[in-house]
This record gives sequence, C-alpha cells and structure tokens, in this order.
Amino acid sequence: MDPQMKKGVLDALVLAILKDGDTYGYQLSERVSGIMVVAETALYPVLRRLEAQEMLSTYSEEHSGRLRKYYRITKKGREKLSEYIGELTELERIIRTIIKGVEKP
Amino acid sequence: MTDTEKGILASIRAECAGLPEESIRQTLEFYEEYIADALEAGHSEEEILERLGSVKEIAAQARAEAALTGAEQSPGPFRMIGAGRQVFRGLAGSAAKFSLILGASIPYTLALGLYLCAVAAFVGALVMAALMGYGISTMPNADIMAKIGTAAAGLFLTAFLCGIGLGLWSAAKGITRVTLRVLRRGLRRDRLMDRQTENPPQRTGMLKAAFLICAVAALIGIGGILPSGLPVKLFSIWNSMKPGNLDTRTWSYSTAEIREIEIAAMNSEIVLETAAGSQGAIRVTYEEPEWLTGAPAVENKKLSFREISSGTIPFMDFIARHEGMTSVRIEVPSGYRAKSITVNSQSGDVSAALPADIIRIETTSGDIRFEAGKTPYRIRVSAPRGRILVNGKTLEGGSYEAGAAGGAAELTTYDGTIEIQ
Repeated sequence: MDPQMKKGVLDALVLAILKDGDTYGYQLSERVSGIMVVAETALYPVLRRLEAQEMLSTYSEEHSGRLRKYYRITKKGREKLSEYIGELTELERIIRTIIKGVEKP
Repeated sequence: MTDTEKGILASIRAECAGLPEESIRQTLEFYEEYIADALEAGHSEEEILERLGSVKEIAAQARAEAALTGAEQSPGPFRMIGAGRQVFRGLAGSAAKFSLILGASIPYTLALGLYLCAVAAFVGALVMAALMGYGISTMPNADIMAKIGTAAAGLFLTAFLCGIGLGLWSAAKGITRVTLRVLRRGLRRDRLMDRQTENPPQRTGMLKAAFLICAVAALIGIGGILPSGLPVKLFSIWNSMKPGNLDTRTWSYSTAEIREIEIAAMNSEIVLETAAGSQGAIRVTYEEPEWLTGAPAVENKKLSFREISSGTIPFMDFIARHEGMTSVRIEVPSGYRAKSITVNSQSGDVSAALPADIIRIETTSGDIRFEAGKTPYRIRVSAPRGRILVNGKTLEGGSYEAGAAGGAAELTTYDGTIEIQ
C-alpha cells in the first residue's frame, strides 16, 4: 500500500485497537500487523506522537519481574477516533464506487 | 536479557549517540520491552531482528527526527545543514533521496546564500568601524569636529550594515523554516514519520530589539554627521579632486647641491627625467591635492621628498588611490648623473629616465617604466603578480635580470607592469 495511505489509517487503527482495551507495545504491534502490513519500526513513532498529542496515556505494570508500558486511549483520542471514522466512512463510499466502477451518468 | 538482545540494544544506543538522553532512553525502553515480549511469545532472536529491521534504520530515523525538531526550535545555518544530512541519511529509498534533493536544493541554496550575505554585512560593519577608528586615531587633536563627524559616520555605516545583516539573517531563517518543512514532509512520506503538531516558538523578540538598537545607532550617527561639517568637507574634497583644483608647487636646487634623490609617495605618479629647459637646476614640481601633502628637504646632499596623507577621512584615500591624477616630477639638466635614486610609491606609477649609479624603485600596485638610455645597466626587476615588458616584449614569469657594468637598477612592483626600454 502507498505509504501516504498507510500513514492516514495507522493512527486510526491504533486508536481503534486501544478503544477495545489497554494494551502494550508488542501486542499492539501483533494486532496491527494482523490487519495491515507495516514496518515494525513505524509503530513506535506513531505511539510517541499520539502520546504527545494526548490521544493516549501510558502507565506501567509489572509483568514477570519487569515493567510493561500499557497504552490507554484518552477522551481526546476517542473524539479523534470518531472523527477518523466519519472521514473513513466517506472514503469507504468512494472506494466502493472506484472498485465497482464508476457508472456513466 | 540474552546477549543478542543486549547486542541489539547496544547498537541502537551506539547509533543514537548524540541524541537527547531522554529520547534515547525512551527508544531503548520501547524496543527492550518489545523484544522481551516477542521472546516470551516464542519468537527466536533472528526472527525478531528481521522483523525489527536494521538497527541502523531505527537510529537513523530517531536521529533525523531529533535533528529536525532541534532545527525547528532554533533555525540557523548549521542546524539546517545538520537536519538535511540526517534526514537524507534517514531516508530509505533512493527515489525518496532524489526527491528530497530536488525539493530542498533551491531553498537550501537560497537560505545559505542569505546567511553568507548576512555574515558579509556583519564583517563589513566591523571593517567600517575599524577603519573609522583608525581614521580618528590618526587625526590631529585640534580637529575635534572632524573626529566627531567621522565617529558619527562610522556609527551610522556600522549600524546600517548591521541592520542589513539582521534583515538578511531573518529572511534566511524564514527560508530555513520552509526548508525544514520540506524535509519533514520527505521523511514523513518515506517512513510514516511524526507530524509536526504545533508551531515551534519563534524568538523574534531579540531580533526586534537588535533592529531597534541599529536604528537608534544609525539615527545618532546621522545626528552627529550633520553638525560636524563632514558633509561639507566631503563635498569640498570631492570637488578638489578635479585636476584643475590641484595646487602646483615648485622647488629648485643646484646640481652641485644634490647627489642623491629619495622619493616616497602615496598615490601620486612619479616622473624622473632630464629636461633641456631646466637651466642647470634640479627642479621638483608637486601637484598637491587637498588630501595629500608633501615637500622636499635637502640634507647631506640628499634630496628627500615625502608625501603624506592629510588622513582625515580614511576611505577618501581609497578613492584617491584610484585617481592618480597628481604627480611628483623631478627634472634635471642633461649630463647630470645622481649617485643614487630611490623611489618608494604606494600606488602611483613610476617613470624613470634619469641616469644614476644605483636606481631602486618599489611600488605596491603602480606600473614602472624605466628607460636605461645609452648607459649600460645591471637591472634586476621583480613583479610577483604584475607584468614585465622589455623593449615592448612581455617576459614570462615575475622577474627579470639583465646586466652590464656601469649602473645598477632594482625595480619592484607587486602587481603592476614594469616596462624597460
């Protein structure tokens, strides 16, 4: 997929996964790569950015003797997600038309 | 932690050298946790390494990101160059690199050119201040109004150039910001980079203050120039530079009185020649302009002529140097032969057609024309950057030696032409 397109949806995808529940880096990465092909190293900058934009917050929890960083979606993140969903729904309609073939008026 | 894991983290750390400590720590923490979790999930180290991709890439990306953020916070030529380099290294594909060069080369050239111009303006301001300082220090103490005027002119010019420099600098900063945006876009397109969310704080307060200081200094300068009478003086000097306004002075000495001739001039053309009409006397004629002064003196049968700048306005000397309309002329009756003739000229041309036992001519940028006449001469000339002509033929190289007994001539010019006939 075109990197520009990927960039557009990766933020939304991360937020959508987090809406289902808090998760940590590796698990998040697994879930993202189950849905779309993206470089492992692309996720880290996205998480840092979303955190800087206060779309998500983090907390640490102990797991077998080490700390794990969990990501949780914030209120602002949820608002952004519904904004994304609105945009993507519109996009979906266009994409369906493209795939189906544009009919002559 | 296994050795491989430690190895990966160590190389990330090594590649991140120079980044802010906090940024390195966070990056390492994220990947450390990722690797631990992946191992726990049953992946092999090789598998994880492959999935993470090259360690160099992770670091290059972090580095490019940090360089861009740093440059955006305080744009300057060095940070801009640094950011460009890091982003270029951080880009993966050669297509991305090519489009980066294409997109950023024009603003880069523009901004760097402006930075250079700004630096040149600042250096010019310093030179101007130094020149004026020198001019003031060489003025006679009685000339207090001229000192004030020169100081004020110096202040005005310095402030004016500084203002221009500041303007160029801030224009360059503006272009730098645009350039950084281009770079960030390139990085983002290539690697799903961070988006710049807020505008970095722009520190324009200091710039405004500097501009204000320059403006005030320039105004004070104008305020000082006007009452000091400097404009009138400048005008009168400018006016006096017309050939008609030169003051011609003449001195006469008997040939028995003088065996040696020594001339040191700043900007005048120097002519030494035999003249039929000199009626047995050695005649010295000097066309004296307002900014130069000179007179001969005789001591122990030696005639010395020294020209000095009245030196009130240093930059007028520069103008005068290119005028060369004044002259020092020494005419002797035919048959006269001096023991030695020494000429030292800063920038005037020298023309000698006088026989002497020893002739030594030195000029920094003037031309030398030497007529050996019938007397055989041993000649040594040197013009490191100029030309030497012997009987109309140009000599290769900067020096020439020819010889015969009877007299010795040494002609030296730094970048003028030496002509021997």
